[in-house]
Amino acid sequence: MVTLSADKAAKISTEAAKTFVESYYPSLSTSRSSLSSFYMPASTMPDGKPLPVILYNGNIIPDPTSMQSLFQEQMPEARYEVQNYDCQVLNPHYVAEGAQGSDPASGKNMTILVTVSGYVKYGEVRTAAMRGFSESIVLIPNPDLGEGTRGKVRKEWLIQSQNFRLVV
Amino acid sequence: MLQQAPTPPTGPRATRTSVRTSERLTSSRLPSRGGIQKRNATPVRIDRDGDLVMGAVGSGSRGSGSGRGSAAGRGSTQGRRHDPLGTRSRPLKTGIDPSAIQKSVLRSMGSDEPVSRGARSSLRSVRGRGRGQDAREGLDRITIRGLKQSKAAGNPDGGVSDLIGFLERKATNPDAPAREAVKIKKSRLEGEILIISVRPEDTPKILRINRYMFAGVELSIQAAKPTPLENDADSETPNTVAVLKGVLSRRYNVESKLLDLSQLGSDPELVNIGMFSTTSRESKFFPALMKICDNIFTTAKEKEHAIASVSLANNALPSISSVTTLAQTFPAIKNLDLSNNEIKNLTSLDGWRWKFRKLDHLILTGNPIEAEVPDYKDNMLKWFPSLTTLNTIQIRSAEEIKAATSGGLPIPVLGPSFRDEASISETFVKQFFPAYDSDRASLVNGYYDAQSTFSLSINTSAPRAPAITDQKMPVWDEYIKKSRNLMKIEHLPARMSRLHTGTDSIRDALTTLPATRHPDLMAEPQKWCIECHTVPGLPDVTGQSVSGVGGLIVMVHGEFSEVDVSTGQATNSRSFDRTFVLGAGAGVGGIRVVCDTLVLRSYGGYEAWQPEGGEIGSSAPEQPQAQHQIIVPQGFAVPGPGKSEEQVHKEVLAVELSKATGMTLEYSGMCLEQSGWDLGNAASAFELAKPTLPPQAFMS
Repeated sequence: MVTLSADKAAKISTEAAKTFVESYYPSLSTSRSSLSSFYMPASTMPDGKPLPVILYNGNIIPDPTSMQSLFQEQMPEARYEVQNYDCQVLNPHYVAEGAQGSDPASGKNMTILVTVSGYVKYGEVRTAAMRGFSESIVLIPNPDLGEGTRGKVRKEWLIQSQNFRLVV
Repeated sequence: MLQQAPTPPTGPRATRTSVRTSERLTSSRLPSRGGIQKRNATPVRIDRDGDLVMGAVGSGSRGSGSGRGSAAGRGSTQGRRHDPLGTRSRPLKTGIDPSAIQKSVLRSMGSDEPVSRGARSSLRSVRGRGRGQDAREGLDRITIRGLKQSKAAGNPDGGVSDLIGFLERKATNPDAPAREAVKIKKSRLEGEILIISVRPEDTPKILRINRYMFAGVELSIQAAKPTPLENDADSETPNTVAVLKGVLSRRYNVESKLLDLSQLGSDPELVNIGMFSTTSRESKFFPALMKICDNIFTTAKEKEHAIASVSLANNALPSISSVTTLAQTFPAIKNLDLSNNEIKNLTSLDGWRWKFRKLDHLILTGNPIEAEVPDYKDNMLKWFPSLTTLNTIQIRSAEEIKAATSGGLPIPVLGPSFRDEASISETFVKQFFPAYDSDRASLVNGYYDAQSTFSLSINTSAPRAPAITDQKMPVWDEYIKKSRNLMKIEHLPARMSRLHTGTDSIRDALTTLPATRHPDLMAEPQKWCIECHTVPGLPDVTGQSVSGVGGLIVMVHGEFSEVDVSTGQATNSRSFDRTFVLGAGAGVGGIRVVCDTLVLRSYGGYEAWQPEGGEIGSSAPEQPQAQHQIIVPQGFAVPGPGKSEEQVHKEVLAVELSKATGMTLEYSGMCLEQSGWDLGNAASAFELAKPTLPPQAFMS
């Protein structure tokens, strides 16, 4: 079996993490209406637990739509500043149940653990306190990639699980 | 502006009420027993040099003012270079170079150097400008004494225009052409002295009329020092500095951390040196005082530690503009008493908007703002994010403060979401961290395998614990070469080399990191936030399942100390966020670490994840007592027929006091009556009388 080379794994995973971090956090401030598009479609784990998993300061958010409306309707204005992120390949060749999967060597089937550390300012940016946050995210390949409507760029990677915590 | 000898509306007691000096009260929202301090119960001494000696008993001699009256404008024979403190330009106990203090005080006090003038100029309404300006414009300054004793002093402008006309007439040669007539370019009154500015060629003509009679008095006319650097400030300032230091030492209470600057206008020493004799001297007074404080307490931490409360009560302040420097010198004070001043509106307080971020208790009783801006409380809430008590009323709870600083998140911070499977995560965490502290090599052998990955990244600029100010900047030398912060490490080879795969590489990485000590999980659970849930799609080490197997993702937030291996002493404290992915494997308990990412950052404490509302695991400090529930009879404290406004106001006060104390409205009324209807005084009186009050004084 041809497997994924280490350099390819590092390249694809770190680029995926970069793309994610650079698009997701600004969206939390400026385009909350697009939030649900960052998540995998609702699904369940083999044991029946719902996916994606979304945790926010210990609160279990049932689904991406709830997450989006929480941000759209209730969250105060917020500005996120990512100061540090890192990632590791979680599974180099993940093929969802019943799916075809791409060539293992392509790196398109990996799942990625992304860890982010930074701060967020809620409310008026000028006066708000800097709250440190830590977030762990598992990204999986977008199963619908390539079938998207013409002209609309689909995200290559989607959130399978996410845990946000204010830590300072 | 500080005005001389104000009459406190509620009597002298008002000066020492209500500044709460304990940092947080747990038993009551009222001034605590320790909060009412007699001024200067343990007088702070100043040493021979006139410097404050903190916490030490000194000889008690202090520099004093010698009643020089207003010396502004008085000539001096001492040059700028004469340093009266030159003999003691060695660092004092405080480590402060007195000559540096001297210079900075000179800058802010006595001299009219242009650099410090700009900010003050708006305070001046007098004709003419400072002496420095005169010098630049090529004018000479001359002082004239005697106006105050003259009959002209009773004229509308104090006789100034009469005197100027007189001087111009007498100095001008009647036979000379009109263009040579002596003209006084500028004039201003400082105390009893008129200071005029004239062209240099006119100076002798003016000086010639020295000892002339004007409106019944003999004038004394002298040239003022020609440059601003050689003016009276040199002979004047050291004395002033000594007096100000004396004032500070008398008014500072070490134990209660209170700086009592109330009733300054009637402070005999300050009056003695003519501190408030002129507007310009008065406007320099407070900044100079703060400057001295800045030189005594050199770091923010020192200041915060030394002074928690400041009283500016009874100073007839119409606005805070003359004392605004307080916010720069003592930005971290917790209690501020502005009672019995003349603050009318929000504009008068605007200079302190967004300042004093830690201010917990503000007192504005006895100011017109109470009546003129009834909802000023709302603004105070917005301006001061930590304010819990306004006057004697609790306006915000500690929880609300916490919510406000988190931006009022719509969903609460909850305790950890720990959704474990068969205690796998729990067992793992309990074994992992003690082993990480004691034997990392064995730990790696026990839990990691050839496919496990580990990486470390350092967030060097993470926010730090808000409660800890003045922390020294953390140094990351021992970590930074391993850091895989992808924000900074952009080249693929570096990204690859900083990702450790397999036991050997991981062991090398972990065992070369500084030794650590994590808090005990059982003994100090509040210092940890551990969450977990299941994840699908992990690689199946047996290779049987293409779609992968299930596992757990474990997220740990916590702290550790580095340990000096030779001494066993804990050194730096750091915070960390560590995420593990655990799968089935051949390690201890059938577990393998699939991924291990460790993020280190400056110590950030553990308050952030304490659940709101005190759930399990909460270490939230004891919450301050809420207000008492009281029953207010219908019609009470509201306007009604035949009821005077004053009566309504009194009833409102009684309700407030009852809410704060739990006393009946009747007793509250009696207490207020005895306290001159001042809520602050009444609250203090209550605290004192509490043990002797009969049960019927309280609502059941």
